[in-house]
Amino acid sequence: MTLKLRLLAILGAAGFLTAGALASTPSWSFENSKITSGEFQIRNVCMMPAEGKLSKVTMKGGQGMSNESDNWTTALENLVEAHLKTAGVQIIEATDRMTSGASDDEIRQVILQLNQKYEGVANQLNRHPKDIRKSRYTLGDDAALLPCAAKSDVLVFVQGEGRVTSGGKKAMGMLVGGRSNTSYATLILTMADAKTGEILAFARLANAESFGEKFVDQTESVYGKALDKQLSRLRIGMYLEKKKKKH
Amino acid sequence: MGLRVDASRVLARWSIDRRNACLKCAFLALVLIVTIPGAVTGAQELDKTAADFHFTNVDNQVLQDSNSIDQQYLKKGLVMQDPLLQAYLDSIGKRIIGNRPIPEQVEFKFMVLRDPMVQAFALPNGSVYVTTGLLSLLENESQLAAVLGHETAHVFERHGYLENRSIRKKALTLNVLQIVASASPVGANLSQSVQLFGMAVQLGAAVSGAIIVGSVFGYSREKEHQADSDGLIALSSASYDPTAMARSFELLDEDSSLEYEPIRGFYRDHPKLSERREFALQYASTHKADKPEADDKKTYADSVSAAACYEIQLDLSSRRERTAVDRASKLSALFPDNPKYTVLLADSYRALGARTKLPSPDERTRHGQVEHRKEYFRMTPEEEQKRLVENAEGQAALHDNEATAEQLYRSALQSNPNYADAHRGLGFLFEGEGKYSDAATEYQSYLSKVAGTSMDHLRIERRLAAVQKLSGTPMQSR
Repeated sequence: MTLKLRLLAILGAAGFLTAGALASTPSWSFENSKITSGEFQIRNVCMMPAEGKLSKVTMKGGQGMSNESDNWTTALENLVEAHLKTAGVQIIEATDRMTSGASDDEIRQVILQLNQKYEGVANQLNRHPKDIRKSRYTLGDDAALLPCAAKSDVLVFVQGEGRVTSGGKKAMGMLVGGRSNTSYATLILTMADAKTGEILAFARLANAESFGEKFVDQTESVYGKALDKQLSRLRIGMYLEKKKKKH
Repeated sequence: MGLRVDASRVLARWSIDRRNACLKCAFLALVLIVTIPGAVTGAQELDKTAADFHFTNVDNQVLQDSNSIDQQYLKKGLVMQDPLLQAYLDSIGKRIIGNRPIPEQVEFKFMVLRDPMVQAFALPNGSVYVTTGLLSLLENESQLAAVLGHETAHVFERHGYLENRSIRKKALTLNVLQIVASASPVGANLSQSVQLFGMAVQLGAAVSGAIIVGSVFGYSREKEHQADSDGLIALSSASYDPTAMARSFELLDEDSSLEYEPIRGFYRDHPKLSERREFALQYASTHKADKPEADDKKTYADSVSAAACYEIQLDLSSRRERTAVDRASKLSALFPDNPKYTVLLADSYRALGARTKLPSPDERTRHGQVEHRKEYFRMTPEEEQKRLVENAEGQAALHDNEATAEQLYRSALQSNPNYADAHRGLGFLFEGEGKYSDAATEYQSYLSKVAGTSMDHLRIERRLAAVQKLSGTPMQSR
């Protein structure tokens, strides 16, 4: 093989591998043994309002992307709900008053308080998600204050965080080197026991792209597969039945 | 031989590196020629004031962003919707604005944000936000008026727009500096770069661009001073006591030592509180209000009670138990016969657990604060309590806090025997102490007093079942 051909083959292989790496969404999940053993079954969930935050880094500094963040939040919420439904899970919104005598404002207050509690443990949870196995994290039984909690197995927190880097900033990054100037977005899914508030599962789906910001408007193609994989790992809904049949 | 080959390779590599470095330098020179004049012109624009302010495309974007922020807060349910509280805030805001002409594209709106951080800020579109954290900290209406006077001054003086313009220019300069800092071959152009931008900027830019923008270029120290000054004028014009601003600074300073959280609230990036307090006192001594109204702490506390009660709940959910005790103590002292405030204070003491009401001398030192902050992030609330109970001081604190909480719950029940929340609190307390049958009695009392549709009903029913199981009491069918 001539040197030119060898070089072309190497470049081709590198290109193929890079494209594969860019297209994939690596994901991880951590869960309590109650879930994997089937002792705790997830068939009904209460969806907490999703939270997606995108920011843009440009040559003129950081910029908020409030409209894009809103759209992304809705997209993430729809995505997770659609996949949970496909997995045979019943969904109730956290804002649903159900048959309780609670006012919308009271429910909103409880949601904010639960979010505060979640933020309180999120720092440790993000650093040591493995400790979910040791039942280390809990939101307390305040979780049961939400009317939806009465008919749900878990509360689902959906969070997204992403950074979009402008072309100019990327070019500068290439020149400067040493700093990551890649656009990225991470989807985090946390499930807490609707009765006790104990955090039972945590999944992280990361996506980084050097070219384009697909994760903003094509959430299904970016996260869909990885999400199904994690839901299956967590044996949610019909995935539990499938595992049982396998065994 | 091999060594010689390696050496020649190194030499060849070095010559390539040199060639690349030369190319990089040429490129940088081009970047600098194109961008530096723009950055310098930008720096000159910093002198613009509200008097000669004209909207540009950049400002329109800021206005749009401000409106989006308003929408976001509303959408996320962060804005408190309490008609009485809103009317109270609007009346103070209106009084502070007075007859001053409203600037173009400004519509003053005063809102309360559900946020435990002690914060107040104004958006360039005229939206002024005060947090529940700040409202519960302040003591009277004049202090709130002082805060609103300061924030409205930022809007009148167009500080938001002017700051944005300057930051954009600085960011551009910093990006250029970053290129300079990273692309310089080691040692070769460092001194040149230092000559151009100064050592502080050079070193700072290599560590953090944001710090340079904030500290070296300065975050509008003058603008804050101007806002204080304008706020004081507005305060005395509206017949409020001008010394209230100095007192609000004192309160902010005292409060910041209660917790050791990472984000220090409002005024941290402003000039030093002590300096500002001195300035406010100096002004107040020479400018007396025409007819200052007597400040009534009770009227203020009553007017903002909805925010204060919510704030205490927020503090308890966000590991700020000391702050919760402080705020609830204030309310309870002003209204000793109100069982709601007594129960909130009892809840706060119960949540303190093995923590002391005030930081220990060790926690107050810089080293102690750093250590405690580390632990705060390392441990969950349950782990923190467990660690505290391991020593005698923690055990004593736990004992005292539980005794105080029980006494307060009982006192609330004395003033109103049907006050269900006191029974629930006692139930939680006894359950924590391992007194399961007592806890069961209290939970039963609570459930008998609240409607079956109440939000807490199911939770307490579950707790009742759990404590009955633990105490060996047979379950009663309900």
